[in-house]
Amino acid sequence: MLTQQILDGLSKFYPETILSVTILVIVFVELFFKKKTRVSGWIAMAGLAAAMLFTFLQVNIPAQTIFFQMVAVDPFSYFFKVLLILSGFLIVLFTFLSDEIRSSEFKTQEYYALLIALTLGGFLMASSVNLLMMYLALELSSLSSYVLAGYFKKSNRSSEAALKYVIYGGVSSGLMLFGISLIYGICGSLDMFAISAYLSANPVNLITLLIAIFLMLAGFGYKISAVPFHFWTPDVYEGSPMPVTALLSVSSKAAGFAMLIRFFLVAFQNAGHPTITTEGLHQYITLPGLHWPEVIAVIAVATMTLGNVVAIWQDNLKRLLAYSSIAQAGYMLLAFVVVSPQGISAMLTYLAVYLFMNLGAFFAAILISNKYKTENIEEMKGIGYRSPLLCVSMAVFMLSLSGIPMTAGFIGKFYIFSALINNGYIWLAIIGLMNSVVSLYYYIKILKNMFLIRPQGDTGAVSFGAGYSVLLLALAIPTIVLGIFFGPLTKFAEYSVQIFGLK
Amino acid sequence: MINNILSFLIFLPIILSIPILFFKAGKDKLIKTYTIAVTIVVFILSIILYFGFDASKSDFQFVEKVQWVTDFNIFYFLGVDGISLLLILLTTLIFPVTILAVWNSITTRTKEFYFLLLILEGSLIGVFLSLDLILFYVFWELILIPMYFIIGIWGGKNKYYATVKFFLYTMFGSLLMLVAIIWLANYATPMIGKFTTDYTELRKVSIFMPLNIQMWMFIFFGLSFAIKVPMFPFHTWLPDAHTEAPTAGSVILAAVLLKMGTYGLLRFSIGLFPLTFVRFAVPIAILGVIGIIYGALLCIAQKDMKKLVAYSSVSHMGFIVLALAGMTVESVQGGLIQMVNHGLSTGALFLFVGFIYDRRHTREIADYGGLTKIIPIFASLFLVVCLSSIGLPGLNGFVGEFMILAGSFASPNLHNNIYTILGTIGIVLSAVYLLWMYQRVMLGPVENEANRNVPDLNKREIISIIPILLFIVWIGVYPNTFLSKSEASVKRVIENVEAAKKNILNIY
Amino acid sequence: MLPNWLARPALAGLGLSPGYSFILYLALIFNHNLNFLQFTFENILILFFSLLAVFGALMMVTRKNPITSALYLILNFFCVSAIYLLLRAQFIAIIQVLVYAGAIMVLFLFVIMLLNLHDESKLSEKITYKKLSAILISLLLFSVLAITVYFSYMNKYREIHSSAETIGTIEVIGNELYTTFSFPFELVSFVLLAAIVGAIVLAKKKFD
Repeated sequence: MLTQQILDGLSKFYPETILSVTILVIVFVELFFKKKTRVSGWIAMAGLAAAMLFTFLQVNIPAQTIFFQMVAVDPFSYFFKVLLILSGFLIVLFTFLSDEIRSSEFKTQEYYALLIALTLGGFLMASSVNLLMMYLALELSSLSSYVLAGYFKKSNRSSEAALKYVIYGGVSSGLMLFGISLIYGICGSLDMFAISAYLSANPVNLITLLIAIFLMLAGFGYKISAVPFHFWTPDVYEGSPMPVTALLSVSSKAAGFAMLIRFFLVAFQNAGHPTITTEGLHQYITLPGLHWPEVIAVIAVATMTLGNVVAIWQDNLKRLLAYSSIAQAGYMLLAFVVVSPQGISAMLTYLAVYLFMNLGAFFAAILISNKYKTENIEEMKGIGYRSPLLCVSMAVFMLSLSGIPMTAGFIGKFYIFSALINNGYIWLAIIGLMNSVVSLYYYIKILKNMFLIRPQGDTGAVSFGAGYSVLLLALAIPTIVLGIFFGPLTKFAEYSVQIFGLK
Repeated sequence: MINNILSFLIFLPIILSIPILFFKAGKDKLIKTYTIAVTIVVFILSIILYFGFDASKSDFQFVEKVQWVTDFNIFYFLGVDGISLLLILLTTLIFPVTILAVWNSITTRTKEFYFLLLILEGSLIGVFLSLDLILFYVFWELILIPMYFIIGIWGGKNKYYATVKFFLYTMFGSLLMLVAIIWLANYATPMIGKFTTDYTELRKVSIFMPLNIQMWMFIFFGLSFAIKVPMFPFHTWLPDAHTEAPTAGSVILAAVLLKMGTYGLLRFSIGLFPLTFVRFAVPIAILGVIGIIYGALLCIAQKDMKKLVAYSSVSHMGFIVLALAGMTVESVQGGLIQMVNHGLSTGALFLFVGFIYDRRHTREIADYGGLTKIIPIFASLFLVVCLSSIGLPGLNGFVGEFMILAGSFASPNLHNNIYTILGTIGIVLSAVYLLWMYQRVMLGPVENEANRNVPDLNKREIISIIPILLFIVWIGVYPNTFLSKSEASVKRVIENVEAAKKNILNIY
Repeated sequence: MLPNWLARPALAGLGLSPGYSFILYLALIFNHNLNFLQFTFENILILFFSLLAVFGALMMVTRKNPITSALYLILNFFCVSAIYLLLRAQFIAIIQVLVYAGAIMVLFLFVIMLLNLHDESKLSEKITYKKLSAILISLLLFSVLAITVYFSYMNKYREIHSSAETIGTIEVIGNELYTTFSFPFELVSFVLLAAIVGAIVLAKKKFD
């Protein structure tokens, strides 16, 4: 029975197993190389590719839980696995192409091991259905990201950022653990399905439950850098090398969202009681008296407003992107307020789109810092004429992040706002759109410096290798194409959220 | 091809803009010739469209409809009626004229400039032809990007401020419009039976929505159009954008971009929410009149020619707003022809300011004087354009203004003819500021010696301005060529309004 | 400004372990329905140990000598451990002693000695803006905990569940750990691996 269960689980666990093996292989192979090599990077890529392959084999697997209801294998986790692998893959490439890391005197072997560990943590975060599992997965990905943030310690400032990250992470995961213990105390189980069953069958003390939810939100909020758990974000993003920043802003965030969605939708789903509200729409039932979507709405509005308003004042491109990514998390949370398949699939769509545009923006920033040795926006004057391809791509990413039509970002925003409006949250949608206007200001500021101002001093063309251009286009083209043909993506997202059985 | 002529109109310039990027740098002449050739082909296409258009039908013609987004029923849906036909003609005419007129004023980054110009033309035509709200929105926003770069790269001293202001203002409005589009489509879902952003479907049901909901949607739509027009309190971006833009940018901005706002008001605000528009007719008319008088007064105070022309736009667009608020067949017809007129006259005024600026590199009125003797051809043509803008009988401005005033005077929707009477003050004022400007620049003794050697218009400039003058006189003498095409469509709009008014009486 | 004698106990809220004892104590106090007060020998012992734990915590934050503080902290840990034991959680009680009173305390003392604090005045600081916010946060945390406990146990006397005795044993925990929770158990090894790799990476100097 026990062996059967574990063997059965393992047969559906190949992607994660491959990633684990990859970590071990990298740690082992590293022993044979005294000098800085790229071998581990290639191993990491191979591991990710193999994991991708085996993930694809799971495409039509029926939703189920394995390992004694610890981990789910379902379309929802599948979606996030694909995102995480894609992001991991791109980050490895970024690392190869980043001068910042190439010129660093540190060996990069463990870097790749930790990168894969973070991806593995993300996989488990997206698929765990047990609170204990969830916490451990979170810790795995957090621990890896702490180290990655401080890996290439260039200055005191970046060490300080890493330390800040650890402390914030420690506190919020502690709070989350406390929330978990409260929920366990209330429901007598760590299993999300059991919690859901208990909550729908028994009266519980709502204040205690709400406190538990707040404490849990601390953990999630820290992972997706939502206000008020965002304080670490700008410093860590600025202090870490660019590929790591990109990784934190995409992989880590996506995994956090996956965990957030699954926790709320599974544990707090009053299964089997859909009703029809006055608007004739099926609405998701929350626990009586416990309006957690409203709590999320407040957090979402605070997050995007703060992110956008503070981003206006930033001169450092990395810091600006950090605040912009805080704001982007706000938009995604906005969709979560609408607890309907439409809202959640809009969120997933946005995440997929966000992957391309945000990684693209970071890659462009990497190239700019490679070639122009600057992260300051004011020093990027006129570079649009010196390296047109780079800057036009950057323009595409910026416009997409701000949600201009014909880019993927518009589609993401369109889906989010239609979900909001369809469910009667018109004012929330308006706040979101006003935020988009504010965000335009700083995205345009970058374009202004790149294109509208004449270059000063050196005006020669600056070109870069074919590999860079290919990768840049590989990110820019989807950003545009997904803005026109997005049917498959949205279908995929809708299919992924079906398992929650929302009406 | 005639069946897909609308798609050709939109995508011909957009697709043919791409080869420009591969021309060799420095081959400016080739690039310009190529661009003007493309725009002339587009103009010819639009003339084919004009002749193919059946003026007796009020429905959309040359319709193309392809499903774009399946789960939301968003369509690639194009169609032309009398209203959009005139604006298409205006757009396609203005582009080759402008390119020819500013032939030598763009010296840096020529490739990019003409590339953006063609993209701009395609998306502008797209705005006037889209019949799906989301498609409309996509083109509406797309215009911002080339315009941003045109002002930002080739603009004047304060271009950064002007571009950001222009971008944020319009974006603010258009995002509200996006909310309204989704809201409207969503609200109509139970009525139609599916979520769709098809304009022809939506306008059938939108009048039956509760009035307070209609009101909010109307405000959201209207705000974005009002900013674009620009209507009185939202006009502040316009002078900045105009003054800083290069001549070509100003011409296109004044001649075509502003029409997007009035076109939107006519097509969507009146088309979708006729009753709400009737309810708001008086405030809209008041804003229009304020725009007319305030704009004109500001013009009188201007020292810079380009700023003067920019503020005169605010004043002239006020007439069109007043016309739409009047909502009678005559006033709307007048408003429509006035959109074309304003495009021609103000476009031409900007061209003339550009010509003189190219020669003397100053736009200060005080720097000139007595130019008539030095550049007689310029002076005479400039006078014609000024008079057309003022509304001299026999020229185009008169036809539009007369129809607007006559139509809105008797309008049942405004309850009071005081707005029209106040509006006429604007005409008087326009004579004051334009003729005064003409007098200070063109007449009198030559005070500034630097003006002695200013060359007169060359052949290219004359050729470029002739089509505009031709149309100015044509519309002034025989406007029916154009009015007849739009009559059926305008009548239909007004009939819809009247029907909606009757309907509301039946409901309540 | 808060006086020192008030601020320091409030600061104690930050340390979770002293907090736990406090909560247990409050749980008893807040039950204003006196029916629950069944003075069995066990309850009296729990009360005694929790009061002692609070005493230990208070002493810990008010002492000026760091070594004394640390020793009081050990007292607190032991009291909490005793409470666990009375609640039939043998395993946790032992872990409490082994990990907190043992390993972590040794680490504390080690650090204190390494810091080489001659002058004790270094530890007595003024109440600053930062501290005040720390006080506020700890009060917040305290009230959250208090509310939670209060509302969960309001007016009810909760017997210790009969199955508590079996659940708390090492045998049952071991069984669970290697069957149902075998997967998280394996995952912990990866968490530790990541932590070790990370620690080495951060500790080592650059390579040549």
